[in-house]
Amino acid sequence: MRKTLRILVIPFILTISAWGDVLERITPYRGDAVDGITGTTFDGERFSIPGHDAVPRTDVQQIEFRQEEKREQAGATPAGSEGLTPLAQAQLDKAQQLAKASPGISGVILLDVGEFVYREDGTDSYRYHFAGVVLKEEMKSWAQVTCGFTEGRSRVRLLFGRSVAPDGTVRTLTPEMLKVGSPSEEMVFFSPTRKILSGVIPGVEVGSIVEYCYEYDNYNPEDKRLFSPGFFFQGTEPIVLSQVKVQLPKEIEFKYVTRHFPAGVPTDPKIEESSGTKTYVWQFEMMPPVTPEPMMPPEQDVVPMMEGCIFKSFEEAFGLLAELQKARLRRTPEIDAKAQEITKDAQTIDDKIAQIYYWVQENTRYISIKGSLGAGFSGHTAQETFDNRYGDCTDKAILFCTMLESIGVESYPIIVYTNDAGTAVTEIPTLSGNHCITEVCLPGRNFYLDSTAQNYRYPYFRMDDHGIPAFNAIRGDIRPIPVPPPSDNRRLSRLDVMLEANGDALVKTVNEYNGNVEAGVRGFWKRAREDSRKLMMSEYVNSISPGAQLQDFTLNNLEDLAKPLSMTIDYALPGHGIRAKDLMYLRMPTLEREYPEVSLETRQYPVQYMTTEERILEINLTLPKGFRSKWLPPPLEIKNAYVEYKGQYEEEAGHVRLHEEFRRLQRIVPVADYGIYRDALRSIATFSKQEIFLTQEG
Amino acid sequence: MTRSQHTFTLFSLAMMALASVAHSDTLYLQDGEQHLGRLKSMTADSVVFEGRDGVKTWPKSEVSRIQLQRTRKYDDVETVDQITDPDLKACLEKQPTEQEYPADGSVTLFARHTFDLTTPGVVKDTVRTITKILRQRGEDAGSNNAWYFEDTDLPEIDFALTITPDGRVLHLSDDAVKSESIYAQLPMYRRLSRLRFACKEPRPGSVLDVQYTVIRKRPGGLEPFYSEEFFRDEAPILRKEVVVVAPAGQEPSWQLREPDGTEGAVSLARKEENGVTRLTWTLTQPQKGIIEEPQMPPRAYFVPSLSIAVSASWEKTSEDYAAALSKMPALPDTLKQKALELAQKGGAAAVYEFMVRGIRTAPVPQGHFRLAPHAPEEIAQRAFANELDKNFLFARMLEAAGVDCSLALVRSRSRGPIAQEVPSLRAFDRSAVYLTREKRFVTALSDVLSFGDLPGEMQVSPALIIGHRGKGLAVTQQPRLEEELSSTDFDATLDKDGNLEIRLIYAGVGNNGSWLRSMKDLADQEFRTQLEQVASYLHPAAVLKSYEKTDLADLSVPASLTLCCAIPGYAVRAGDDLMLFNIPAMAYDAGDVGRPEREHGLFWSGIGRELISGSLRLPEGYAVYSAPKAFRFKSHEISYKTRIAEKRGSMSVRGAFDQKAYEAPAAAYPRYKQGKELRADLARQRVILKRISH
Repeated sequence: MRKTLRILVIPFILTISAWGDVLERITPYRGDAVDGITGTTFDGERFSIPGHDAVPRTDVQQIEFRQEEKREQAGATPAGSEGLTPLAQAQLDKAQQLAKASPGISGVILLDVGEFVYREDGTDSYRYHFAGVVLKEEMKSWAQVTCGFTEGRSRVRLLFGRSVAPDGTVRTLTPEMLKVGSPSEEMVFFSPTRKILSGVIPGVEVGSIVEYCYEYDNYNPEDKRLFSPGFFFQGTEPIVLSQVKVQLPKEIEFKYVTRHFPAGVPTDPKIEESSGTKTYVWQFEMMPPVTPEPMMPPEQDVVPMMEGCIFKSFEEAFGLLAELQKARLRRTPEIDAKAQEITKDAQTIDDKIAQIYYWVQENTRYISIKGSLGAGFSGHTAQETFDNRYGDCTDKAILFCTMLESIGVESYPIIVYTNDAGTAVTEIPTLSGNHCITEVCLPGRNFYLDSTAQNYRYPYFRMDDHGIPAFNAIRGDIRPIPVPPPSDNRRLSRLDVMLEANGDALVKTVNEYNGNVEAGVRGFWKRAREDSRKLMMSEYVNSISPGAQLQDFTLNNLEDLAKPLSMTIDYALPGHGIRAKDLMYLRMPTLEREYPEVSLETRQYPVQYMTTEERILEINLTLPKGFRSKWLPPPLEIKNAYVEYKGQYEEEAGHVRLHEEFRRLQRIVPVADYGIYRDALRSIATFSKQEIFLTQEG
Repeated sequence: MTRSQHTFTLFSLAMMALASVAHSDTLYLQDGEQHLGRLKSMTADSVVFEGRDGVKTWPKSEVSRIQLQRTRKYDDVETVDQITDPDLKACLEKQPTEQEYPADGSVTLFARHTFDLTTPGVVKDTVRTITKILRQRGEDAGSNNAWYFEDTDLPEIDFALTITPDGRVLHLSDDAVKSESIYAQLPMYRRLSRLRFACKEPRPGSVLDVQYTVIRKRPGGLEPFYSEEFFRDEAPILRKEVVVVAPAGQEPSWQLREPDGTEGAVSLARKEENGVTRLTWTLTQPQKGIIEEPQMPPRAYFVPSLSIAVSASWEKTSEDYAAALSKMPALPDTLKQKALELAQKGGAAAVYEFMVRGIRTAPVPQGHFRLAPHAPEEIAQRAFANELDKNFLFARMLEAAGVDCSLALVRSRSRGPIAQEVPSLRAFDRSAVYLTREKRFVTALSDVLSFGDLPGEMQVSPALIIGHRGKGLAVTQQPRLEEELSSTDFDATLDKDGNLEIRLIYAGVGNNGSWLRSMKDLADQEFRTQLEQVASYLHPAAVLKSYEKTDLADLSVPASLTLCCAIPGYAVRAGDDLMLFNIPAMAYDAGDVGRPEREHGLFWSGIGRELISGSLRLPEGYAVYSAPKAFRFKSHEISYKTRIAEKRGSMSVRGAFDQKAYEAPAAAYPRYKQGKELRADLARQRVILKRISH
């Protein structure tokens, strides 16, 4: 299946000399657009459109220009109602074998075939051919065909779409069943040129074969060097034939990378040459399905894939991006003044950076407007974002860097792939990413900050940025972003528990945080209404022990990003200690842990977290007079490459003390070491669920 | 592109004029770059654009598009002292401080919703909202939607201003405006759209004044004018008005609903002038923001609300809809034949199974599309339809099979009480088929619900049976508790080392079986992966040994799942003589009843019964020293009873929890809380075994 275009906007270029006149399209606010005209003029107040009445400026929404002889609308090529293509037909026997090998599967993909063609004029196209057998109701969703494109840059055409029912009835997706629309996006995203062509292939039932083919044509790309084909060869359904072809003019050097190819499968493509073109072919057959596992890496990090590019070097790729970024990193008097104002009381350079970090986080609402390649890669100018007080990750990084420059700090916008979205390609010079952060360079130290978030205390930054490559286009390098040590993602809890002879307990808790834990806790409570916070905490303590009564709950420095967040919770737990004749048993409040990521006996894929973690719990339980422990869970101590744990009870002069330290040292646990990791976490979970036993003396 | 080709003309004065980008056009170039500024002129070949760097001339061949900033009302207002609008001025003069609303993210200073019905067949719908953002979490107020149907409605943003704390007035940028189709991926249901826009500088201290107008064609029939307005929201409301302007004598029906405790919250003023009646409902006192609570009812249950519609009666509404449906194309012969065949084999249930399994459900509520269903043949051929279309076809097929039935519209409980005095087809958000003989409603919606199971939110709900002469509103049926049953049975053996071998059977019917049935789509390997995770909830060390399941897709077979697990170290050995463990599969939590009290009543998605039963053989040489204390609890809303006993080396457990009510007043909360806490406390208690001394 096609690799998602891992890019902030869809790229590509145009060789203008290949085209004729500039055609124009005038879209008014009301009524139909005037299309296919040339020579429209504007005098500042009215548009004079050849062959039409003049239109006042106030009535016009948009003017588009294109260099085509004829604009082809997205749509369908009428197709007959013939049955399966021979290629799909040829896979049917193998599909049965695959279905047998994957019992209970919802469907088998017969064909997953993509073909990229890069033309001499810098335009390109992508044709995708799909066929699949529906084996369960769920896979009737294959009937729904949706192809995206960018208005004014690309278009899609459905070449055919049909279903073949078990009784042989063929039903066809006809052009009139297709519509082009602006798809709905989340409230914060504005991509006005993003369109989709969609339709539903009729008559799909269990046992049907769905087959369709569409073509995506980049007829008006922005930069011809951004051709970056990519393909995945495995998915959650088995695939009989997964193949991709990339065809380019012979003289163009095509660089590619492959990943996750099974041992023994050649990573080099088969190369077919014909007059003037070279075609690279990768093919997989009989691919088993991916079975999802809890906390597994993103699918793109486990399935075989290829990605290619035609940039000659990283210098060239970075040069393109750097130009866009530099044009936006422009200081203005307003920005300088604001940076000075924000930092006027700061004593050190770190304090100054911190103040600007907080200001950008808190004063720039996340709104993403992507109307062009420039905005997609590098956002808007610093001044625009400063004026609007909204922007997305690129906008915020540009503004942040510009404000840092205002105080004399060197910094760079950095393109990344967040660690939940797959590992960025660094082997070949491509430009892709899904996020933008900031690298700060101080004498003797470079570090990263992410101003897109709203709740991070300096110098902490979002955990999905940890452990990934950082693309610094302006400086022209790729560096790894380190994973912070567990002590930078810390939760420290101290509980004083006063137990009564009747089992009632009074608990006083102090929690302190840093890093991502702090940002998460801060964000959660900032989103909650102030008058709901105690009520919400009441629910939490009641989940520890039913009948709990919250007595006090404070959040310190919740709204002040510059200061560490801490929390105190005082609550009573009536009957927390359960009497059983002469015994009393109880579980230490907040100790219980769950680790669903180690619920499987074996795994096919690594366990992947976003970052490290440290958790320290200290409980001082004051026993009722005359009580002593009868049994305390034995200590547990674990140390391996991935986790360190120490859990230990001690009794001393009327007190039982629990000291627990948990550190997850790595972000990723490979399959080879899953066994030791699983056993470690299961031991910790078991330890956490054990009660202590008390007995009354005399 | 060669930049030197451009004609550069720098105007320093122009740069000053553009210091504020309040009203900016956007120039998009072919190379992907974009510039903010103003289109100055165009010749046949070139574009003259004034940006931050001055005026530049671009060949048209290098330009991709130019988006022009829309002219809107108040564009000339740049600072707060230039504001003349009385409503906005009043709001700004009396704007509250953050301290006055310590809990809220934003406060609605003024809201007015005007329906102008003076043009026949047209509703001019104008919404104005003035909001002050108090804190970061109130910034969402800066993002707005104007909802409309793309084929009949015309939306327009009249203005969207931000008044910053330092007195600047910022205007909406057309870059931050987007028209989009909610169901773009489903062409056959594409209709509902929204004009989405984001105000500038939506940060604490800013006041946002937004007004949009949608001209809606509402000729009546299946597209009647209907609206439900609420006078309380998540954010506090200081002033709110709902205005209806209609020709005298053609006023719509309306019903004001003021739940207990809100009486007098809304007043009505009527004014007649020049043959036009103006009805204005005004909030008489500010309303505080709504606090979210677990299991809280939808706001329609507890806030003042107003329903407005064109005048009609329920009978007429039903008859008119029936008449419209009767004009739909007939069921084709092939489907008639299919219906007969199915009914002969398995009655209405067989037709139901054909519908729910054969036709995939499109997640498009009828209110998001239209009340006129697609033609039966089209629905069947496409094999993909929304609930209304499916029920329409279902009813037609049942009729063809000789089953006496009618299409029905249902108002789900989450929509709140129905306004009896405001009959309208638009009052209903769901549909069903009414089986006349059985006097039951069914909906061909889901392939995880068996024939006769009504989704919880549709139970005991107002319904309009279409075409039933002389009948007003009906109410959908309430199932018996046994029809909404989930059960867990276990059979376990504990050895002297604390290891447990356990066989668990999960079963469910009605809505309580849907979680089991929803696993039908998983491949065997994924199914096993899921079950290993289920086992891990029993105990971290649980190992799934084997499992069995019924055919979860077969709606005629009750859904059940059997797991066999080994759990090493299930019971904790505490010293030499004690061993303790919890009763398997008994895990309850009281987090949802942690609040000492509630503001709102209680509201549940459905009723049902949860059973647990099992036996556990104890290891030889041990006897029960202590066990959880069984109890009985009964209230109007829930009841719970357990029995835990030891006999001949085995423990037996029985428990039954009944959720009997759909809703309850806040006064019922303490008792409900008590019941849930008792149950959670039971799950906390351990069985303690003691070695028997020989």
